Parts: sequence; structure tokens; C-alpha cells
Amino acid sequence: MVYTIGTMARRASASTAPDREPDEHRLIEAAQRDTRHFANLYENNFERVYAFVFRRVGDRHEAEDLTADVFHQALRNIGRFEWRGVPFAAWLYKIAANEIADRANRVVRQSAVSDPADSYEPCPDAVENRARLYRMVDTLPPDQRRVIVMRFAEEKSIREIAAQIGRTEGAVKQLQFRGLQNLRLRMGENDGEAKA
Amino acid sequence: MAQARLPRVNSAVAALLRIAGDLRGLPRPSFKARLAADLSKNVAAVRRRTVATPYLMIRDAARAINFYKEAFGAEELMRMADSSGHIAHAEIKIGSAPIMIADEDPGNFNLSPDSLGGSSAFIHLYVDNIDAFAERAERGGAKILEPPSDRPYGDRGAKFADPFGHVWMVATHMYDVAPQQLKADWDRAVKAELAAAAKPEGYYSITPYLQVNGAARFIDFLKAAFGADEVMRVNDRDGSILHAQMKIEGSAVELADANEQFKPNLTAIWLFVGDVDGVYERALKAGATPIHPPMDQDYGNREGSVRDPFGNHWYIATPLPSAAPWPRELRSVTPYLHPKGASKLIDFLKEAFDAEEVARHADERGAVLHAQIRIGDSIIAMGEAHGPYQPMPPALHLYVPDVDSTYRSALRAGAKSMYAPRDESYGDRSSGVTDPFGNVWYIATHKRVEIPRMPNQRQSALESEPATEASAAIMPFMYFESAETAADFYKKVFRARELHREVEADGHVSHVQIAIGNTNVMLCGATAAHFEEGVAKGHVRTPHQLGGTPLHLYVHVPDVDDAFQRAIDGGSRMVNPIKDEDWGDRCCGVQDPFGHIWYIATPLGQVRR
Repeated sequence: MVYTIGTMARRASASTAPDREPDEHRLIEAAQRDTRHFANLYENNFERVYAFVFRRVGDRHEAEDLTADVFHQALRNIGRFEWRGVPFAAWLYKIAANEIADRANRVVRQSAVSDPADSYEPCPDAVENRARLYRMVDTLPPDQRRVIVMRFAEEKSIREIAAQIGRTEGAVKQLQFRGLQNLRLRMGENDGEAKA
Repeated sequence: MAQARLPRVNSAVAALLRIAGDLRGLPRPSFKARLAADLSKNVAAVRRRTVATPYLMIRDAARAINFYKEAFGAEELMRMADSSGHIAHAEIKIGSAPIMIADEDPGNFNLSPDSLGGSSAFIHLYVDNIDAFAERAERGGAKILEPPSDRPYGDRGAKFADPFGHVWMVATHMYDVAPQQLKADWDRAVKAELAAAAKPEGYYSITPYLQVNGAARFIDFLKAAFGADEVMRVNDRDGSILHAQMKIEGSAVELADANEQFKPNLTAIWLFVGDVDGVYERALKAGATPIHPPMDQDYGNREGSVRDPFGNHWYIATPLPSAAPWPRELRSVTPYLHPKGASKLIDFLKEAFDAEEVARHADERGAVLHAQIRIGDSIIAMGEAHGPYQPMPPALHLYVPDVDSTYRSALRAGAKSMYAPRDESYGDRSSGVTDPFGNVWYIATHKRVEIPRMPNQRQSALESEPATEASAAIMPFMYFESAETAADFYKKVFRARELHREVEADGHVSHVQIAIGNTNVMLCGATAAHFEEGVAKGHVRTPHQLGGTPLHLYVHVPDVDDAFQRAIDGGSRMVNPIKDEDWGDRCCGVQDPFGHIWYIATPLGQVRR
């Protein structure tokens, strides 16, 4: 299955468990032959990179900028990637860590404050888990998904959401509750034992 | 903190809160989509660095960009022009193909086709629909050099010239052809071309060569039985036929009087005709004896066979309407062999002549009942000898691209040499071998020679131009005691071709029209009565009667030295010795046995030294 980059945005991809991509090696080789196939790698790793970066910087705009930088850099350098059996995500995390460090250094130089020990690496499991949660949102029933996305990704208030989708605030809260509950259940199912 | 304010929260609610906390970082779908689109743009940029992009130098690039938009459906991506409109750099896209354009700048060696008088690079472009593209291009003012056509490599392509001197090869890819397949097709085409160049016109690869006692009578039989046409006949001095070529149903048959060197042979020929029963009847009337009358055969032919008065077999056949078509290479005249050990002969043909097995039907013991073997563009048929069909090895004239190498492989495969490859005066390089089954092979490669032309010499009016044009070409009428003898002489000396002859009721040949190179000459030999009449009127005189001739003929031949030798051998007298002349010909002069004077020449550039 090969997707062109144009279909990336349309493709709902939550069904793939992140750590069980069968032929990552093949996808990488395809992208190295023809960068149009980079779309598959982007699709499979977007949430991971975003989750990684967000955990480090904690700010949505900065996370978006960094995620964009990571993927642009990965696309430019995909030809130089050498497959050694390490997941592709590890390479992306490395790019992301460098980007974050670069940014921090720039900020440090500007503010003349030095904190070189800033080498906190997020735990890979935690990142995977978070990425999986993000993808799980796409599997929710449409009305729940809409509310969850508006509430958490677009950071809208219950009232704004209610106005926009033409439901009562009570109904919105109810959808949000059921959405969260569904996510908890599904995370638990996929996880075996929920990491509570 | 939430827990601090809600001390008694149960674990389910705590889990929900944790989920909600984790969702704080949920990426916006709009961001994901935007980044995907941005990456896609960069993909194009990255890809662009990996291909060679045509950069067209053009006189009047602005007009050209308009043309490409109009005629080729191009999209303009960027344009950098100075205040005068001179375009330093522009980019367009046709489909997904980027093309760069600039105005020419002769000072910097950026020259357009208009300045150079042409372009040495074509732009090859794939589009979705070449036919629609071609229509639009033509409407827009492109010149169609080759209209869309299906190409053997899986494209449907066309070729255009734009008004700015650039040439475009535009195609739609229809299907993939494996590179090995392309290579094989190409090799086959090259081989076919070589093979075609190695044959004289009107010949297929294989021509049976029938050597009989009484060739002249045999020719008459072929005409009467099979409606054969006489293409050429070369008589020896003793009146025997040295060589003759006949055509039956478009296929050539060669024949000669047998002699010490070339013994009589017997040949079986599978002859495809339109009307089996009619031809069978005519053959019997002409003197053939029946072998079996015409019958529908279960292999798809209606066939009848006869033995001609010289002992050759003729299997006269017509494919039945219901039958599957025979291979194209099965010619009207196809030699049919009856060897003992057909499968061994097939092996020999493969090894010696690069033959291919087209069909083979064997009985349960493996004996070949019928096989068709392709050599070049012809097929030989055969069946194991049985009953009345015992071995009758023929002589076969085989044209191959390289006589020397085929001669060698024939010997390697077990043939015996009769004579090694040698250049024949009639333009072939030829050799002879006998295969282990007694079949005689005259292996030859034809050396095609372009007959040189005198300046402004016209193409023969009679051959290729309409009658109204004929008045512009001069055809000499020459007078002889015997036109026939004269024709034989000129065939030998000048390699003249006989085009036509007129025979009187009493058998006297009154006119023979021949072609020497591309000039036609009429040889007139009047009957005694005509001759007297002509003489009486004062306009018919042979040189001998006149005591000389005021009309000399200047003729170009491929090899003046060779022609001179043949002219002398044939009884001519030298008038001028062979010399390189300062008008650019190597030339000599002879007076032929009939008193006519010829200047024989070969352009210096084509003289073989």
C-alpha cells in the first residue's frame, strides 16, 4: 500500500498499532528511491514526533514548529538514512532532540543564561503511549471525536463547542465524557493492563 | 492538583482525568494536513534536484511561453525579466514536467535554434493523452513532424517542432515492454534489415535452383503449366542456358542447363496457387504425369501432385478456407525435402543456417511426418522419405547477410565445400556446399550497388514516371542484325536487365528493351523484310553497314575495369584505354562486336582500388 502525499491528510490511520508496522524497512527504501513515498513514513510517525516534542516543550505552537522542522529535515536527509534495524522513529527522535537543543541554545545565548544539562529524554514508552492515544481519537464515533478534537486540540470551551455544533452544553459535556471513557477503555484494551 | 481539590475521586474518574491531561497535547488535524501539504511541495523540490531539466534558449522567450501555454497546456511557474522584457530565467510546467526557459544571449553563448540553425537535442515528454495533446498542439501552431502512432516500445508517440526551433517528442505510455524484449525485437529487426540488404530485389532467402537437361524446354513447361514469367535468361555461346530466372506466383525459381560442373538434380516443390484443380489440369496438359489428383487434406490444404517431364515433383496446393493460416514465410514456391533422417537434417539446418523450427509433426516413433523450417524469410518443408517420396536432394540458392560466416558454419555443421566464397561478376559473393544429405546450397550475399548517375540524368521514364514525362527522357534506338544476340551481350557486359521483348510470329525477336543502370535502351533487330524496308527508306543502318557510327554512348557502371574486361572478352575492340579522366570519371572506350561505340565509366570516388 502506497499513499501519495496528497492522501496523507485524508487518511485515518489509528487502526495501526504504532510498534507493529510490518515493513518499515521497505517504506524507507521506497522513500529513498522516490521521495513521494515519504508520505507513508510521515503518516506512520507524525503523532510520535508530535508527542515527543510536545512532552519536551509543552507548548502547542512550539511543538508544531518543531514537528514541521523535524519532518522537513527528515525528508531532505532521507537518502542518507541507513537502516540498521532501529525503528525509524528513533532517527526522528534524534533529529527532534537536536532541533530542541538548537532552539534551547539559541534561547540560552539570547538570554545569556546557561543550562547545558538540559538533556532530559522523554521515556520512549510514554511517547509511544501518548502517540497511540492521539491516533485513538480518530477511531471514536464522529460526534465524540469532533468534541474531543475541538476541546483538546483546538482548545475551545464547552460553550464555544456547543454554539458551533448546535448542541446544548450538557450534550457536549456528555459527548466529551463518553469520548474520554471510550479512549480509556480502548487504551486499556490495547495495553492489556492500563498503566494507572 | 485536581486530586487535591477532589480528595475522594474514584479510580475510574482519575483515569479519565489522566486521559484528559494527556490529550492536552492532541495535535490539531489542520496542522497535520498543512504539514503534509508543505512536505509534498518540498518533495517536488527535492525531486527536482534529481532529474535533468531542459533549459531552452529561445529567441523571444515571452512569445514562446505564451505558445507553450496555448499549444502544450503549460503552466507558468515563474518569470524573471528585466525592464525591456528580456527573460533571464523562466520556469514552466507541462503536466508535471518542469522546463526552464531563457531568452538567448549570444554574448554568453546562450544560443537559440534560430541562431544555430537547428537544435541537436529533443525534449521527450510524457503526457496523459497524446492524441488530445497533438490536436491542441497543432491548433496552437506546432508543426507535426510525426503524427501520433503506436511505438513498439509501448508508447504512443508523436513528434513536433515548435515555432522557436525546438523539437518535442511527446508520448503517452500505453504498456510496459521488458527491456530484454525490446532488445530482442531490435536485434530481429536489424537482422531482417541485413538479410533484406543481402538479397537482390525480388528474391526471398531461399530460391530453388533447378538444373535440368533441356532448360529451354523446361522454361516452356513452367510457362505452360504454372503461368511462370521469364524474368531473365542468359545463354551460353553454345546456346545452352547458363542461368535463367522465372517467377511463379511471385516467387522466384532459378534454373540452368546441367553440365559437367552442375549436374542435373531433382527437386520437389510445394507450390501454392489460387486454383489447384485448374493448375493441376494445365500441368498435365503441359506434359506432367499425375502422382495424385487434387483432394482436400486434413492438414488444411487442397492438394494435387504431379511429376514434370524432367522428374521434378510439384505439390500443387491451396489452403482450404477453414484452415488456420500458414506462416507468412511459407512462399508460393517452397522446397519440399524428403530426406532419410529428417530430424538430423533439421539439426544441421539449425547449426549451419541459424534455422528455426516452425512446425514439426512426428509419428509415435519420432519420425518426422511433416516439418517446416524457417531460414531467413523463407521456409523449407520436409517429411521423412517414404513410399514414392524418396530423397531427391535439390540445389537451393540461399541469400544470407554474411556469406563467409554462413559458409564456415555450414562446414562446421558437416557440409562439404564445393567452392569457397568468391566475388562474382554479377554482384554477389557466393559459395557452394553440399550438406550430408546431398542437398546443394549456393550460399550468397548480394552486394547492392548504387548505379551512379550522370549529372541531371533523369530517372528512367518508363520505370517510374508517368507517360507524359517520358518525352523528357531520351531512349536510344540501336540497330543490330540480331537484337537477341545484342541483348545477351549487353546483359553480360553492362549487367543490363531485360525489360521487355517483342517476338514475331516466326519467332524472330524484333525488339528487346533493356535497362542499363537506370537508362533504357531499345535494341532493334528487324526482320529481313523490315530491314530491307528500313534500309530502303534510309533510316535503318547498323554501324557495320554504315562503316562506323556517329552516335557514341556514355554509360556509368559500378566497376569500369570489370566491365571493360567483360567487353573485351565478349569481342569488343578497345577505342580508349582505361584512364582516370579529369572530369572525375575513370573511363575507357570500346567498340562492341556490333560496331557501336561505348564510353564506359565509373566516378573516381566509387572506383574500387
